[in-house]
Amino acid sequence: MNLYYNPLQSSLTNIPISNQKQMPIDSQTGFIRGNLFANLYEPYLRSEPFPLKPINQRESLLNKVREYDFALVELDLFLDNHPNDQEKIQLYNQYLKQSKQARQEYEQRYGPLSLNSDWLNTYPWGWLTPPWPWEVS
Amino acid sequence: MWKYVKMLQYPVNIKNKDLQMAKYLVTQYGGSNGELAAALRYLNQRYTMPDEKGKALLTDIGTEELAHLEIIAAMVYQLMKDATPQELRAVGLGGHYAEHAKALYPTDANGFPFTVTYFATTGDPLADLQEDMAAEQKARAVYENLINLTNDPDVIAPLSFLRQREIIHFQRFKELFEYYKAKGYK
Repeated sequence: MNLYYNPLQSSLTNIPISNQKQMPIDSQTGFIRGNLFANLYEPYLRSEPFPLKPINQRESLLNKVREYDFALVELDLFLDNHPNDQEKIQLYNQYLKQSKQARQEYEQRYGPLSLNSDWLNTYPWGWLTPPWPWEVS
Repeated sequence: MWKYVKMLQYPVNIKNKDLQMAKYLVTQYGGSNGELAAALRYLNQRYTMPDEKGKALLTDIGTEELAHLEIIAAMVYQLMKDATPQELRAVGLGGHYAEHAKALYPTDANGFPFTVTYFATTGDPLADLQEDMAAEQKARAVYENLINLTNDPDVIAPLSFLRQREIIHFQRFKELFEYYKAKGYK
């Protein structure tokens, strides 16, 4: 982990350790549940969610991007409240690497996901590559 | 600023047209407990949060809610896209068709249009965070009501995902609320 001066560190006190129980589960299960933390998971009617059924390779690669990005969202919201949890910061950076790799893999085959993608030097302009997110894949 | 990512946070691939469900589901687009109200409520409250934690959390949850708005919009769009005007009329969406054809328009399940009165802001961080905790609970309850109104797994799967997000957001707002209360913020 990079060590650098963090001006927040001096002003933030540790929260009572409610966070010790909040251990993240694996990103794949967390993603299909919509909840990365086992102790916060409260299912409704069904004990487990529907498994993802990607209908093609594109959707399957996109689900990997979604999975790692989801772990990033969860860890970020956790870290906003618990900024001194070093393990979660390391985990965040691990998922960040995996998210970038999954993006590269998707984008080189199926086109850019964002306007700062490495795959925009194409002719014609690759941003128009379908499908758009609301279209059935 | 915000940057667009060309994907949904959770996949939505609805195979079966269900106009009645579209009519109910739109409430999470433009209703009082919907995602548009949530996104704007948090993004509007963040300016008067007293410290870095609050500014970060309200920004980040508000941003995630925009992604949820897009999931709900995609669901409503897919449920309605193959409908004829007559079919829309038969489920009570004739008024919607007259005004908007098949365009999305944020209303609640009874057709009442979105209003900014949904995003209460007081400038008091403790009051605002309790408002947000209640909003997350109400949205969770509405997701359960919506799940009870359908048997289609293509619809239930994203609704279950979104329902869990309400549980996590409630937890994070509660943590921040307790932290602020202990610090004596008013």
